Amino acid sequence: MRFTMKRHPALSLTIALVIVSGLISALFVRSESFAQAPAKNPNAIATSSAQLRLTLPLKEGSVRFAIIGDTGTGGNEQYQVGAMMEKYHSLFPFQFVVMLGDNMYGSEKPKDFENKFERAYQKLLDNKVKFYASLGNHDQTTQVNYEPFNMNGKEFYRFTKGNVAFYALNSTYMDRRQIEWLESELAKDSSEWKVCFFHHPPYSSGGKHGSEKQLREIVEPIFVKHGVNVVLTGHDHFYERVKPQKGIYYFVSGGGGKLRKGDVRSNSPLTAKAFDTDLHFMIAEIVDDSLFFQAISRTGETIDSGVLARQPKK
Amino acid sequence: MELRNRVESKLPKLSKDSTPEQITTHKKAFEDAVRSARMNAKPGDIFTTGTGEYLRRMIRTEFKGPDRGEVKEAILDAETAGVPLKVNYPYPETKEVSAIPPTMLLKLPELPEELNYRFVGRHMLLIDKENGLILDYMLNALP
Repeated sequence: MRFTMKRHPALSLTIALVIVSGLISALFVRSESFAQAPAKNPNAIATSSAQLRLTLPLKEGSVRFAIIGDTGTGGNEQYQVGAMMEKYHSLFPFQFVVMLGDNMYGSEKPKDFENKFERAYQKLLDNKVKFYASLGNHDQTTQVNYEPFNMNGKEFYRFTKGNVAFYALNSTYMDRRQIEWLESELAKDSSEWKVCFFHHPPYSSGGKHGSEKQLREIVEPIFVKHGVNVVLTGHDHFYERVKPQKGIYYFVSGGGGKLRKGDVRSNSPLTAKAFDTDLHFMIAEIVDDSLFFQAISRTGETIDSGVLARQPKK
Repeated sequence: MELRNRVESKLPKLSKDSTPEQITTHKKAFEDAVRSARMNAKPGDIFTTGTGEYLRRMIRTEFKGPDRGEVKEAILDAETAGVPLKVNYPYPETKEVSAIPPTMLLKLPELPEELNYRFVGRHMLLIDKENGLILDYMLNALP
């Protein structure tokens, strides 16, 4: 027996309207994602995945990673951020984490490596998520030999994932040796995406620290010349997505373990989006010409998200 | 450097995949060995009068122009109170490291890879970054 269904003209119109309205609302969600309200209850910890919201597309073959900065306090709030990262990892199985420096505040005895790093991200480490660290102004150089930081004995190094090249730099000591290395590596790099990550922000609206202009004077021309797409930094203990500068996307993500509440200068011309009322971390996904990002508070609320288009190649 | 490298070559090599225990043990052994080998080291052995004058001159050039206040502020901002100004003492790992503006760093003579310049307040230190020892220091290097 064959069943045939005749579509009524009114039904066709309804279907068309549903599709069109779906497309329109999708467009609004995309543009709205740049203006998320900040987390409303910084003291509450999300306890069920129902409260979690993923805005990243989880496309096949994409490069998926998380970003944390200024983490190594060993305090409760660092652990709460770590726990939230674990929850998001179950929704968005990121393959690795980049660390933006200040991985360890204070002493660096064997117990500190446990308390200020290993235990805070234990489940991620158990799930074979790799961490790639850069050094901050509170870090000892000897961290370069610590196996879970994957620095291979180097203060500055490069690694690739898919079509993305990542450059970890040591912004506390940006000497001639490092600058020459960076120039020469970038010059021969044909990756589709080039992402640099380090501690001190060339652009930031922080009241306590803010933009590191002398660092910017040296590194920005190199980034521009060699087509660096994205720069991830910490040092200022908050989240800021900076308006693109000379075509480059800058993020400040220094609230993975410490918070400097209310430190973002209001009306800063640099700010595209900022969040300084709770700790946070970021997740990101790169696929083809798009970088999708989501910044998430300690309590699991999305504080910013969106998609960045890859700049034309130099 | 020769002395330092000789001392280091006698120690078990630290792997790039080390455990925290191995890192701590190696650092302490290295620190002790260099300290004994340089038992009679004193301030000015490396930052000699001539070297010191040259470094001060180079640093002064960084303090010209409208951003000089910011340069100084960036260095003095670091919490370094309590760092001992003593040769052969370790730089305390609990203390922050002041970031030297790269614009200034590029004006200073390049050091061997194992050493770093560092500021504590207005004073400049020469540090062995692998064992944390203060090899020499120069008072009031910043104008």
